[in-house]
Amino acid sequence: MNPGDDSEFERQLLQMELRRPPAEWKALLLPEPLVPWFPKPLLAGLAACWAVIGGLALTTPDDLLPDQPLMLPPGGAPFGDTLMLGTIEPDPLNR
Amino acid sequence: MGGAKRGITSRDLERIHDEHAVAMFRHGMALLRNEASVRDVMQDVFLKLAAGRFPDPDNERAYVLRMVHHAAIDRMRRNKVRQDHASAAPEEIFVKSADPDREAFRQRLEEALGQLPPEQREVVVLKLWEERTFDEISRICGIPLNTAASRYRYALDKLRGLLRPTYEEL
Repeated sequence: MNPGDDSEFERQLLQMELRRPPAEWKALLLPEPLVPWFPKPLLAGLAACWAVIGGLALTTPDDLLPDQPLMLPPGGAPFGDTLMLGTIEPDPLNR
Repeated sequence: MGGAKRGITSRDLERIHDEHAVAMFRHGMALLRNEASVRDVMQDVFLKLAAGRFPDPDNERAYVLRMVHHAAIDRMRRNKVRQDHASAAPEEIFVKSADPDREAFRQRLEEALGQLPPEQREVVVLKLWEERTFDEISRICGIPLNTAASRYRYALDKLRGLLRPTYEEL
């Protein structure tokens, strides 16, 4: 057996063409992509919201925070008999 | 030769399919000679790839062919246990020819390849039709380089003996 004989035989074999996979296999073989529970745009939006809220909380002075108790001045109401809506006076028609 | 772990996109999978599916099919057919079994094997491989077994880009072809080799060998072992492999007639691996002489040679070649052990048939297909080197074949099949070369030599001698009356007429 000489090398020339080998290569001639190999050339003969190579004239035969191997089959290809059916074209419709591609759809069968490629698995469906997994849909993430939390898509990236949603996570990015949530992260941005949290960042803004955190930033506001850190930069707002304590006395402006809405959960501070309302401190009334000592010694009763500062406006005497007046209310926020006006002064309490007797009705002139009843004089 | 382990696959690096990283996220694999559907675009990656499609590219791997487009570049290697034909070679994977031919390799699977060389071993199993059954289209349905090869389809199952290739589905297994793509599921593993989708799960994160991303091949080394420098050795992608060898890596996916090695995955086909392992899946096909596993399947052959299972079929041997179930005793149902022999019941299915082996399917053809070559394209039919319109020329009567070539078609006669193709049929003889199909029969002759069927008489080879699967591991020799695999090496012949990888070396001759897929143009893999013995080094690549040794990595794909998980055998020493010398074993790959000797399997090819034995297979070629056996094929020549089986086909000599036919191919000398062509």
